[in-house]
Amino acid sequence: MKKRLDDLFDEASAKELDTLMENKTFSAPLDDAVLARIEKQTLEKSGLAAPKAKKRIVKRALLLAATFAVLLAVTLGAVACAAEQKEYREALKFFEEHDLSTEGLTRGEIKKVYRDITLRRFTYSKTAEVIEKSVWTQRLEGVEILQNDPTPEEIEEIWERLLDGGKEYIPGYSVKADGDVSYNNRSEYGENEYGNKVTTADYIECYDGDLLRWSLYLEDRQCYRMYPLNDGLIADCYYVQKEDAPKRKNEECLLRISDQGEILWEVEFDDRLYSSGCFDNDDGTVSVLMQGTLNKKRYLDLKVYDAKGEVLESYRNEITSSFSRVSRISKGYVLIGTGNTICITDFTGKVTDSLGYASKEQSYHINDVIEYGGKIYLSLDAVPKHDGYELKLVHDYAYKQWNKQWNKVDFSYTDKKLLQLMRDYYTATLMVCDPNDGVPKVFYSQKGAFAGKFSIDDAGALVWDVASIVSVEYTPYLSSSSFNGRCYVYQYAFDTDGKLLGQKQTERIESYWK
Amino acid sequence: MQDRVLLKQLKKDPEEGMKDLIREYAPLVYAVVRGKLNRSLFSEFDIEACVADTFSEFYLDLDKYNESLGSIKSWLCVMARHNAADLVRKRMREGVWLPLDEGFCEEEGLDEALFESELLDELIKEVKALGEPDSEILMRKFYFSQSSKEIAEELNMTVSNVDTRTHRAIVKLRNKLGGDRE
Repeated sequence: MKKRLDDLFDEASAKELDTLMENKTFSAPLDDAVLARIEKQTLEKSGLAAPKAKKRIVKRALLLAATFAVLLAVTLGAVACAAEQKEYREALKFFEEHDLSTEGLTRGEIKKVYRDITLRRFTYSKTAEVIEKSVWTQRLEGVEILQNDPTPEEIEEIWERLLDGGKEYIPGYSVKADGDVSYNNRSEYGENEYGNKVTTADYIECYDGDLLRWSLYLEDRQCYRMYPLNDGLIADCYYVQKEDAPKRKNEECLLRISDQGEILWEVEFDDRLYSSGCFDNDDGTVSVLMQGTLNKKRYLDLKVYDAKGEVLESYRNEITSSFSRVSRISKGYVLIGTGNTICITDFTGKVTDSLGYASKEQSYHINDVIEYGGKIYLSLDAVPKHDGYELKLVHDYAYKQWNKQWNKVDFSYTDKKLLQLMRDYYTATLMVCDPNDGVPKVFYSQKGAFAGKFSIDDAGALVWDVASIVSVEYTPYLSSSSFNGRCYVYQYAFDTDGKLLGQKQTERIESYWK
Repeated sequence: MQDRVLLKQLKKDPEEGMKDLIREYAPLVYAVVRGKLNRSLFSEFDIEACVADTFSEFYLDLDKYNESLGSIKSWLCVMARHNAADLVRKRMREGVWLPLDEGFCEEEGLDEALFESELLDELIKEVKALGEPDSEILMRKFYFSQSSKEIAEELNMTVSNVDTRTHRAIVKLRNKLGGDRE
């Protein structure tokens, strides 16, 4: 088994590193501020930071808050009286501009709806009626979809579920299959001889809703990715070196697992390639797309395996850049790349076309692609950049607030402003691209939400999932992410002409990590 | 500061001991983590958090530290490398796009240097046997992921000299260990 030098160094023990680093100094220049932050975090994570005086801070904060609240109430009262006329005029203008109907509404109700929408509260009962009457029935092109923000009660409900460790949150890495079926990869951990945390056992589990249907122990292997098929799944795994094994073995392999949890076949493949997509061909065969770099060139391999794991077809094509996801369309495959680009290939993996969308002000993360009604639809997250970074303002605010907490043992921070900032950052965007002109255009957008998957419903309509952010928690101690939270999943249905047929809020609640 | 002194201080006064440990090794651990985490995908905060995780884990598992298995410096490097790799894997599972195989090696055409993984022990010896500055260049390039320019500045050499030495070192290793070009 051959490896690159940098990968090999990953396996070096402390003793071996001592040999290599003997009498040498390797370090990165750190300024005092960075060092101070690392020291602070480390001491807190290690439980060594001395807690500050809690009571005095709380009392002072309460006193300040009370004073501020009184001043605010007085000020707002005066301003509201003086601005009543002005607000009504603005409300009428807003109704007109957004093609909303004032029919049947009193002067007070018009102002309330106006406030409810512009302040993005959406708690007033008349708001939904006005929007439904005036917006949802029209065909909208390139517009923002107005979606109800979560109510305070809904947020409360989410938090309660979170605090209860609700059933729907199964630990591990999961992928959804048909219906309520999902596959979950769960690992057990232990320590190696150096005291490092290592995986000791790996399982693939099948859940039907919350019910565990089967569990498959992966002997000597760890799962890396899972691809659901019509009747089971393909798991991309790699072999784990056993202590008593005669030699290191770390090749990757694909496991075809039935919907009953049995391994149907297993194939090993070149470790320089890795799988990026598996598709059921509905005839017992499976198409697998792999990519990797060989001889300084990047290749896309496409293989079709039969029911016994024998290769029926095999193609290798050169591609110009890596891709992170792949979708299948009528003419072949769509490779979703890392730079706001997609490539379209035929069924042999040969690139036939490429499309791109770019903007200086924001990043786009393509989450799904589907071909529908002769057009290609892209589901993307649009994220503004500040100083070249995404989420900078959210990070800055969260870190500042979290750092003020006297009790960092809780390891997290959240407040309404943080939620609003998070919602302001993400816009679920639906783009449509006519393959003839090749330029994607913004079709619909939904603020405060992540763009989700596409599907086709029983009536043949295109369904776009949009996950509306309803909670956020800043968790600097979680090394895998800084922000996590929950979303309500909404669905929007479109016909083949791109007409919005309707929307609904599903029962689904999804977690996110950023 | 000697490891023994650090350990003594850590046990006697953990808070002060940790501060000493961080002051001594944070630049090194930071370099290891930064080398593993792509700067365009992981923020400064991610890197700092990963470094803090490493020190914290070291302290919390202090009783497991065994001097005979390596120095504190190398022990921390191994832990940092594992933590950073873990972070990369988690991000990938979350669907974050990582530029796979798009590291400095590919840019400079060095990724074709492949070696049998069971020869790690011999490889370490051979890298050491290359002598200076070649062994240091390889360490900087392949362990700390430094660019040729950064290495050239640190070792007071020209960039082309670094590249030439790297190439020759790889050829030497390949000849000795049977590595190939695929």
